[in-house]
Amino acid sequence: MVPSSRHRAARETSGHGRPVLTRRSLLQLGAGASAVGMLAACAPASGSSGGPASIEVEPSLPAPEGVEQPEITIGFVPITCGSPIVSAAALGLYEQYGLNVTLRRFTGWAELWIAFVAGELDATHMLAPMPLAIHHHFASGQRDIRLPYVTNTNGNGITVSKELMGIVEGPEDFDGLRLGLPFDYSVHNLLARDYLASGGLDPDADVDLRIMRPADMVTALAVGEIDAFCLPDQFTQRAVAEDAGFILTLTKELWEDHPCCSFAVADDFASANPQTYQALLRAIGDTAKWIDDPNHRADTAEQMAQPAYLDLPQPVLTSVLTGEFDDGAGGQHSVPDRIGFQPYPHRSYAVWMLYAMQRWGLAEGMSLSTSAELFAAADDVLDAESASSVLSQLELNTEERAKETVLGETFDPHDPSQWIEQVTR
Amino acid sequence: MSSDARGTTVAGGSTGPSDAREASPPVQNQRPERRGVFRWKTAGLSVALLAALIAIWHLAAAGFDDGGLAPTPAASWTRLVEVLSTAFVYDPPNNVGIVFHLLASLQRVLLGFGLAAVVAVPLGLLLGTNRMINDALDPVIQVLRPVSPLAWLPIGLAVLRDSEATAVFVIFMASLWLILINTVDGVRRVDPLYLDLARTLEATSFNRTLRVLLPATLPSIVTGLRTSLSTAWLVIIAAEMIVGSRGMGHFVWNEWNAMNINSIVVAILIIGAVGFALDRSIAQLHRLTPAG
Amino acid sequence: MTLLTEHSTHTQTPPALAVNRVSKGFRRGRRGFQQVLGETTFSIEQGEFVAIIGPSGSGKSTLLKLLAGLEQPDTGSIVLAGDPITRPSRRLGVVFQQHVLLPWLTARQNVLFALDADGKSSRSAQSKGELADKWLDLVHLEAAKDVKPAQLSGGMQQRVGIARAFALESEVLLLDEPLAALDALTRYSLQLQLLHLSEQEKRTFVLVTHDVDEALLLSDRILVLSQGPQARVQEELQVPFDRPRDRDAIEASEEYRALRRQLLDSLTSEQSA
Repeated sequence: MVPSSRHRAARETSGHGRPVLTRRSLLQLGAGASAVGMLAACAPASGSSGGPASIEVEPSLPAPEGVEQPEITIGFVPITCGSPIVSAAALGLYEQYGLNVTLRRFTGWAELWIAFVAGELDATHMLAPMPLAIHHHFASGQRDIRLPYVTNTNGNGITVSKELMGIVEGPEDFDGLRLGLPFDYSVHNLLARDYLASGGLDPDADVDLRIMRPADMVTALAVGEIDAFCLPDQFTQRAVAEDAGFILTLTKELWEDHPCCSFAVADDFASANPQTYQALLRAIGDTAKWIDDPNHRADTAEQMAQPAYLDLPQPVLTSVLTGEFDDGAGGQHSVPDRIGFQPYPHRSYAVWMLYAMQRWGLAEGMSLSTSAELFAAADDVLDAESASSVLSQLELNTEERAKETVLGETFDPHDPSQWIEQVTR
Repeated sequence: MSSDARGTTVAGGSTGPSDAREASPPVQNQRPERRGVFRWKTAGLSVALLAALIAIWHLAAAGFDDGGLAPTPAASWTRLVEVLSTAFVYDPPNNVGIVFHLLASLQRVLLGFGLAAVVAVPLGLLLGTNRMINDALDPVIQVLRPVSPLAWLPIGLAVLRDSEATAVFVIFMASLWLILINTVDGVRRVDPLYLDLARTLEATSFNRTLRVLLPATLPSIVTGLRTSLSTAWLVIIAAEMIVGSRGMGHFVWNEWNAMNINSIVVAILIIGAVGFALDRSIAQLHRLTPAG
Repeated sequence: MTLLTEHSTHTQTPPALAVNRVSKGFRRGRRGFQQVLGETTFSIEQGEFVAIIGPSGSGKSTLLKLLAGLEQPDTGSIVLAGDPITRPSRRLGVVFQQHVLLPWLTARQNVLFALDADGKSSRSAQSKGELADKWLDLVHLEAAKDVKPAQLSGGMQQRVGIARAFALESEVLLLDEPLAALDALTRYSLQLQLLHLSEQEKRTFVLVTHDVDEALLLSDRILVLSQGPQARVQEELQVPFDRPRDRDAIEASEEYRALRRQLLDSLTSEQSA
């Protein structure tokens, strides 16, 4: 399923250490992604085999006693946003916490959604809005769910075709353009829509929003099939490496420390297997702490680039994780918090996402008009209690964020409508 | 027995008409009312089978407690009514009714398929009659033929740099080989006596090809067209999931990503019905083909 | 006019068809080769009606294909009024054993197709139409002109084929067992029509048949082919009946019976040999 030659072709590097993506390797990537996407919804990813020498990380916490079910399959989509979930395997931390985890790779969020709701998966990587949508039955399929961790903050960007350099400089310039997005229930979709709205556009009427497979979008941008996309930085950076686009903005510039992906566990599973749940939270929390350390970013990139995990060109991954990057428009940047791994599930995040999903018609049958209702709906899903018990032991932040600054305006979760009025003023 | 037997004198001028009358098609031996009963029974059986299918579907889907992940007949019906009631909504780029998706898909299919027919039929006639060119091209055809049409998609996208053109190109590649191979095969199976006749008449190659070979090959060509149109309709859905900005495949893809599984049932019904209609309409070309 | 006088008046002009030492064989399998026709020589005069008769497998059809230019002889040559035949020509009309009508065309369209297939005819469309109608009328298909072949009986189909061949106005008409596939009564009727047409039209006819009575009724001369392989003309028979011929009178004559017996003897002796 993952030909090693494809991997090698994509990994060729120039003298400057910049990845050189030839047209051929790009096509192979696109073709591979499409074919894999069409023909096999998911490919099992085996554990670590070959590649760089594995790094042994000492666990910060003791393994929980009496783990009910050490054998567990965790779903993931190969993007940098799921790093804590994936790196925990690469760093051997699942084993240290008494778990025997099999990572199962999915190429699309819809396939993963179905696998989770159908009960094939009990624990999985998800886009942060997905657990809220699944729990509250916003679309097909419902399962009670817990969201203990936001696996990453920031880590995304909007890349625009090189041909539009100098033409597209802000949200108002997207009028009539085609913008690629990864999934309806994604922060990319929600935030990009508000970003466009802040430029005075109606994202439904003025912009051609296209849901596409992320791997297809780099090719699509290169051949002029779409004009821009909002995706995880491995794709924004790859488009730069391919000389197809430039990074217009990192999403952290739109919303500092915004949530992106999450770790979600089925409520029935967590209730029935409290020690297993605890072990998962310790392993992933510990991993998040380790990889969030700027000194570990390069090592993390090396581990994660392996075919069994993200299967990405290492230079691209390194520039995503270290924040040392070329924006494709002549700018060199050093943004150490380009992606962050602070897992605490803030209520402000969930309220914003619920509010946004509702506003964009993605919360069918749900009417959360007051902030109390929004908070209640958020608390149904967020497992802040479990998260803080583990994260506080790990000495990670568990402080609730009172307010967010989104698109330059203050978002008070107790009064969301004020924010949108300001943004779209 | 022909009435030639009666016309024993050469001058007897009335033999023709009686021959024609005798040669009229055989009469159906089932009486009309019997056929009516048969039809009612067939229709009744169809309805019963459909009802049973829906009942099984309902029981199977209702067995899951997963918030409608498995679509039920009732939910799918509701969604079908919704989709049809907004079928003509046209509020681009992001909100267009099913009719416009359908038209977009049909347009791509008919264009790609039509281009394939325009290329494959003449090429097939040439290959069928010219052994040397055929033998030279055969390895290329045999290698390219089994390639999945979707494999052409990245190449199309890279070379044509346009999703419309790429979708049409993929359909073209999906249709080409079946039409070509059926045409070549049809030419090979043309009664050699027709070709002998053309030779004794010193028919020009234009007349030989267009007035003898083409009509004689038409049944095979129509078979090729039918099969390839079915394939094209299968492929367009998959292709549009990746490149289309509008179309049935794109509709499925979008509804899938919005997790509207009921819509996918609706799409399947519509795709199936249109595929059936396409097949039926192209089958009408058989009427053009030689009688007997 | 009798055959003999007609024959003699044409001795000055080149024969309509001259077959000189023609032989033909076909490859059989990987190495095998079967000599179907041995070295054969004969000629046919202008305006003569020659029947070629022989047991099945005697290479009758091969010979006719050679005459039509559809096959090339391995050795020897065939000359049409002084011109060697190297390929089919409209100067040689063919009535095939199966009618070979194009099934998607009506009877009339089939004849018209023959008239303008070569794209060289200087006739107007109207004149072609009149010609087609004339010949369809002559074979008594007035009412079936606009009918497709599948709707016609076997006899009618073959009559269209005959009309088509005659309408070409070829110098030589090659009839390849044209009536063999028909039932006895239809064949009987069509033999009379052919007799009539051939006596009206001053053309050269070559009829391949296995029917002794048909050969005697229609032809001026009969060539008997020997049993293949290596078939050749083993006997040549003049048919001396006056024209226009009356079938009943001919068949009642002693001479007819003698000729018939002679032919049958010739055919059966060859077969038993």
